[in-house]
Amino acid sequence: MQNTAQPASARAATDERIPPPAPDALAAFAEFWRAEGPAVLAEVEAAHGAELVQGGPGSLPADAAETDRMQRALAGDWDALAAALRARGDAHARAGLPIAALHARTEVFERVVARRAVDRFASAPARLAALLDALLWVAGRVRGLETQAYVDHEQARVADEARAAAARAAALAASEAALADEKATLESILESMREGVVVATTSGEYVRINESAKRLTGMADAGADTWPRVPHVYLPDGRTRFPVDDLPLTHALAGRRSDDVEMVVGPPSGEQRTLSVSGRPLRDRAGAPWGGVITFRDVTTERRHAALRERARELEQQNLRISEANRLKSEFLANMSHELRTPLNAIIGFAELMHDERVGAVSETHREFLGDILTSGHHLLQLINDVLDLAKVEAGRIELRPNAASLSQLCREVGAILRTSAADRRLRVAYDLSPEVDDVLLDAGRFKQVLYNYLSNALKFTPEGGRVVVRTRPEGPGAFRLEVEDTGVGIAPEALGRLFTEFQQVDAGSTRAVGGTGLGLALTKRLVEAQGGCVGVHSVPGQGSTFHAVLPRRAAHGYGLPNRRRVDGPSAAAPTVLVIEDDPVEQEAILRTLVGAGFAVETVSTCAQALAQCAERRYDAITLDLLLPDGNGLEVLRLLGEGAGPNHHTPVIVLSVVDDGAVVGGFCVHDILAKPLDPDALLASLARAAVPVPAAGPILVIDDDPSSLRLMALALGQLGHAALTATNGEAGLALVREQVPAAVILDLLMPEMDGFEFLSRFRADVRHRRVPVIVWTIKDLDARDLDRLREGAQAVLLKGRQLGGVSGGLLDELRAFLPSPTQARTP
Amino acid sequence: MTRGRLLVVDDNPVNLKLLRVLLRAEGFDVATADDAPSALDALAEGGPSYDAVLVDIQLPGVDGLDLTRAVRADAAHPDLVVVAVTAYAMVGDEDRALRAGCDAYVTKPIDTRALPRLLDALITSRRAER
Repeated sequence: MQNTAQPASARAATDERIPPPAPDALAAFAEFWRAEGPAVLAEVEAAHGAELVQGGPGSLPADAAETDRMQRALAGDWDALAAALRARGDAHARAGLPIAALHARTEVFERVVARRAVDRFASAPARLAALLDALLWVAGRVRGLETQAYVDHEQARVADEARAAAARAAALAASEAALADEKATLESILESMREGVVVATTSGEYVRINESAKRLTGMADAGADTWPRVPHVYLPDGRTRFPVDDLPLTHALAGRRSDDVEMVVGPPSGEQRTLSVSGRPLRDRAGAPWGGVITFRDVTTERRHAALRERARELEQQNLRISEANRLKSEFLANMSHELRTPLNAIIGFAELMHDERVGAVSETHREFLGDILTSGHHLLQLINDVLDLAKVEAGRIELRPNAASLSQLCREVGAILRTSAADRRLRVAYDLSPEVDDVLLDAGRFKQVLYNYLSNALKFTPEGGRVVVRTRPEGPGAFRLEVEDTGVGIAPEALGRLFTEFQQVDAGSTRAVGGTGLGLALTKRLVEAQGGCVGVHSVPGQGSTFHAVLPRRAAHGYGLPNRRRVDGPSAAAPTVLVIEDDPVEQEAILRTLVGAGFAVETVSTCAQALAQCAERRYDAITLDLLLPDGNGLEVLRLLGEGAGPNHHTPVIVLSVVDDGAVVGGFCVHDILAKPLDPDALLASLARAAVPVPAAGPILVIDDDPSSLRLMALALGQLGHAALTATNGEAGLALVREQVPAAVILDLLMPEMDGFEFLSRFRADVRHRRVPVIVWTIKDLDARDLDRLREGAQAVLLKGRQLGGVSGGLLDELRAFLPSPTQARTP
Repeated sequence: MTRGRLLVVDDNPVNLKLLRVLLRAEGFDVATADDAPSALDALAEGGPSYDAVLVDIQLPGVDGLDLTRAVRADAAHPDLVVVAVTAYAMVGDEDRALRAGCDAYVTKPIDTRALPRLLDALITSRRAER
């Protein structure tokens, strides 16, 4: 029953103060509503509309759906009524209208219903009373339900708002924290970066100058200065002020970017730095410019290095030009000397003939004048020889032939040459020769030349009755010292420096007084240096001078400038290896290894020489020591790598005391080998680099005895060597002209040309200097024979002893002396 | 008795004259030639009577080294002593001369006192070998 059973929702919203009316009252109200409802509602709307017009609290007008629901509700459908009222309350709350507006409307409703009820039932007071009871209750319900809906909505709204506000607050807090983190990160980056960063506003205020910027430019904290006060900013020349209009910050503030602008900061008199600066304008979110930022880095060292590299390159070029000019000069001098010798030949020769009266008697006066011609002729010859020698040394064409020699013997030989001139001037020459350094390996001729120059100088400049001492002493383990001390006039300290330069004599007048070319000491210095030694002098004016030369006891086999040599391979086709190494011991070891394996070798000891050689020709391989006297080997690597020179693709084997790949990081090298050098490792590395390892030539056997030849060929075959045979020296020489042998096995006693002669002729050819020669003889060798063989032969095997069997001692002996056979080396 | 029969080859007339005068004064029998072809003619004519040839290396046309090789290749005078005389003094010159077949190498200006003794020694040892 709809009329009696109140729905739960309606009951909940009922105003509890108003008791529910009797059922008949509700029925009466329903009946009244059926008759009057539409008119009531219309009147309520009209009155309500009027109130809205008058600016009252107002409420929402009822729409058709609401009107219909109200109609049904007031006819007894309480559920519909409750729904309608809740909708209304809700709508008001949503529209933000005050609750009073709802209540005002309900009052209008009450009034209209009451008036119409009075009009209709004026004649039936009992019915009227029941009706009004019901009205009171209905209105109360209406008010209650509407209010409830309104409040419900408001509560929900407030809760929503609170939630939303909380969410907003949380989000805000989160983003603030993120912002703070980001700011701290940026701060750290800015302050820790090596690049300088400066930010300025368009009004010229510095808002940010990081630590690096302060360090690099000397600027104070932001705020202390204003743009564009820039005290010391210069163009790259370091002197001209940088135009303010062109500064990257100026551009940035004007909305333009700039990149890598170079400038110098710091006073020209003080420490200056070169900076590379880039600038960017700064804009806000709307794109409006508000400032500019510049970043810069210190490129001082970079630029300085680049300048140094450039300078080094220029010097290198200059050096090349100078050495080329020098070479031409030396060549000219050499040719000139030859031309001068020819007429001198006749002058000296005829003068000598006449002076010695070999073509008839001459008068005493003529004899004296002829002697003058001879003296002058010899002086001129000495001059020419010195010039020629200097030219040779400078052209790198002086040839040193080191031999085992006795130092004391050489000294006395020179003394003997000068004995007469010493005696003429009543000078005593004493010898103080150390027996410790008597055995030396050096070029005897060149050594005598050095001593001759020192000694003849000493004799010249020592007054009559004086004393000259020739002294030798050990100098460290690997060298000896030659000194010539005199009691002569001495040399002023200021003159000592130019003593060893060409055409410098202490007193120009003395040249004429005592004779001399002015070249002797310069030549001495060059000769000693070419042998890897050095010269010097100690002098006290009025008391005397001591000239010295320090020479290695084991002079390297020199072929030119010190530490710059070339050793030909066994054939023109032999691959050439450039050895860049300044340590003479290591250089010798590498050279021996390579030459022994059949390579042609050139050695240099400095970066400059290496680069000069590499520009000249292509090498098949290069070995490189990283520590060189004039720089780092890496520089050589770098220049080889970057250019398109002839050695761009040449495999480079780095030899380093530091066996660590990191030392050549970034460079292309074929291999890195540790020092001291393992010869097999070097050869294996070359093989890996596909540098063709030359095939060793056959071994030449020279013997006039056919059975010996057969025996030796057999023995060599067992060792893996091919053999060439000849029955005398002449035939042997003919064969070696065709092909350089890997080794020679030589009999001494042969018809036509014997072994001794063969040996000296064979060694005369530079290509044969390093070919091992093993003498295999039946001859009983005496001391003189051994002496003759010492220089030319590496070993002597006596025939009688090993003839017993090929497989016995002979094989072992041969194995020890011969180079390893070809196949053992082929990878 | 002559100290030996010599052929001196030099294109410079004054130097040629010096050697001729010197060596004659020293008791040698001296013939001269001023280039390689005339030297070869003289040798062909004189045959084995020559003991030694002094050759200037720097001859016009066929040089002294070529002349030496030609002499060495000629079986007509196997025992001839050949001495190179040269103003050259550069590295390898001596090697080249010796390789071409010279027995000795003498640089200009010549030592007028030593040259006769050197020739004596060379000729004597060659005669002894014979």
